[in-house]
Amino acid sequence: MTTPVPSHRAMRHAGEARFSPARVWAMLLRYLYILRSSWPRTLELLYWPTLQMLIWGFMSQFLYQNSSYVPARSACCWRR
Amino acid sequence: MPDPVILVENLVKRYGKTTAVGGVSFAVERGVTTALLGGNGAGKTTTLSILLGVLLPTSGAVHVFGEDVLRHRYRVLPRMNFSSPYVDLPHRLTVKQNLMIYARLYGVPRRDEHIARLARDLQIEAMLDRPAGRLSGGQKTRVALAKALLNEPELLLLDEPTASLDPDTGDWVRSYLEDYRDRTGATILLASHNMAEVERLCSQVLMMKEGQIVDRGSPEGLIGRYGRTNLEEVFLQIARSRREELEPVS
Repeated sequence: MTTPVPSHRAMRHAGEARFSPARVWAMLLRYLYILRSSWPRTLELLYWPTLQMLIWGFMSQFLYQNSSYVPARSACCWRR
Repeated sequence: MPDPVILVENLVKRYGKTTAVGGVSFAVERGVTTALLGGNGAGKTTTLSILLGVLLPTSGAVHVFGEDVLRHRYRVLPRMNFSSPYVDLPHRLTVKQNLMIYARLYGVPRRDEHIARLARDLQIEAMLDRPAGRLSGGQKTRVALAKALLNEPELLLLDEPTASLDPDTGDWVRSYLEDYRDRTGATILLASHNMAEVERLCSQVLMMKEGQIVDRGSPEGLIGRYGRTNLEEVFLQIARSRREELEPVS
């Protein structure tokens, strides 16, 4: 006869590991050490958000300045 | 009789149609060093992973220090540790950074002092500031052992602790483990292919083959029972015998 084992979900719900700030700090420290040891990682971390901000900044500025274009065109087509 | 530190009953682990562990039962008493011996794919590492709570078995029961590992593993994890040459520490971090993080995870008091003492004992002082990824095999094994001993575990699970080490380093690691066991009364369960290591360190051997325990006993007992001169010959006889000739031992 086999003994049933609890499911992963049941184990997670039964989770007794209490929240520990020390353990969270240990994990944060791990990632900080990794970032500190590799400048390309740090650069990448800054590069992509900066690029996104620039692209969306210019895009929204363009749309703002040309916001009359789309309604004007649609209205023109609608009248036909 | 005192409660065993490890009690495994009818443990089964299946991956689809493949059975990695097929109904294994054993007990390990306090202070005893036990070996899980078997060829590749015998189920040794799977059994260790289930004992650690990393893998969930298909069925069966696992008790460590009297606690059901499948339900209350966080109660026992602080009292045990694990080391394997196949599980690397983060490569970019220095040895000291790695040990410091694990010491924090285990809530080790006076971390700096403790790490300095372990580094002295395990002769890794000179490499504390070197990235873990730049160490040699022997150095990595000693660092992994330092990590495993950070919380002074009462139960130490070792997966091939001296694999790929030169004879000198291997012997040094074995001596250190013997000393640690004698000093602390720790229980050790190790999976190994190294028969000399098992003969030297272990008082109990569990011979595994294709997910089953096919024989068990002390190294001397097994050697005598098979009429051989050493454990390697016993291992070879078991490994080369056909499955149906070996009845699983419960």
